[in-house]
Amino acid sequence: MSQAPPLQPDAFTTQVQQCADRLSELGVAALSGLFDLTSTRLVRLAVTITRNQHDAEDAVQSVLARVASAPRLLSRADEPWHYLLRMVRNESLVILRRRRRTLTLVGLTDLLTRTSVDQAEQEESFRAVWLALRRLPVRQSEVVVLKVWEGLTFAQIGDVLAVSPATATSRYRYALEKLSVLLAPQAPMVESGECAARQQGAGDV
Amino acid sequence: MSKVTDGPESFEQLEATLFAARDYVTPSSDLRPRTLEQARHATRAQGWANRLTLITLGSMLLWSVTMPLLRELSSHRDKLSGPFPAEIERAAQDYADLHRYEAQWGLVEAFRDARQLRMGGER
Repeated sequence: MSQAPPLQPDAFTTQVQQCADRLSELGVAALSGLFDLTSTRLVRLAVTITRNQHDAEDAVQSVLARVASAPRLLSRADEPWHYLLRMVRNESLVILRRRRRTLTLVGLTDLLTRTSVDQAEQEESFRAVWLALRRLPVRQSEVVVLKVWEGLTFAQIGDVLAVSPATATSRYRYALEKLSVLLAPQAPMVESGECAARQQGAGDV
Repeated sequence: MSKVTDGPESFEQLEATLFAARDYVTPSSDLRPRTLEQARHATRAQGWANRLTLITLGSMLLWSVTMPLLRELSSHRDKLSGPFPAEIERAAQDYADLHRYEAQWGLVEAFRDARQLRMGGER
């Protein structure tokens, strides 16, 4: 019986592994490499969960500091990048549960955004995407982030989120269905800097 | 934009729209120094905690080794230690009184007896 060849890790995963090894060898001095490599990706995952950039950065900061004090946790993990994603997700959920705010920003005013000159025309589209993601339940938006932006398979997403691949697939499917409605040209997008009363309960998580 | 249920083309189109927005949100410029500073602080604190743990464990190990040793030595104290000065002095005075000579000669006799007693015990 022939076996399928093992999946080759992509360049990014390999780089994360190398950074984790360096961190393990050199200590906190090597953290800047890991930060530069992963911070943007980790922050955008955390923002999707916490719905707030400040909280998302707190989560990422806390996780990377923890990794620096116990670097072997990361370097010995089977998949360091997935392990890091899981840590940030868990920390974001902890922050989200701790935060007992009933008022949540509906717009994107808390986000620090960046658009290059050649992408200026697409900025409206980017804003619409981020707003639409904020209107999804966290369990669906995090699957979208991991699938579309991180390029993980459903099996890998299931591993990160501690759910079965089938659950990840169905969440993704539901999310895309909602997003297709939210991002349709005629769909009204509520975007304002004002606070809107919205219950941020555990059910939303 | 058409609904995702319309077909694989719209599915791919939606994914492409989502993908394009991936770098729209960026970390703030102070996140890097904040993170590195917290990491340094955490590592330093961890180092102190590790050192404290080592010192505590070392002390406990030393205590557990020396206490039985000291107890063992104290049980042999009578054999190892010589007579107390007060005992020698009393014996010297008894010799001096008995033989009517000076106390220094009594001291010599008392030491000779003590030495013989000890040598006899060792044999």
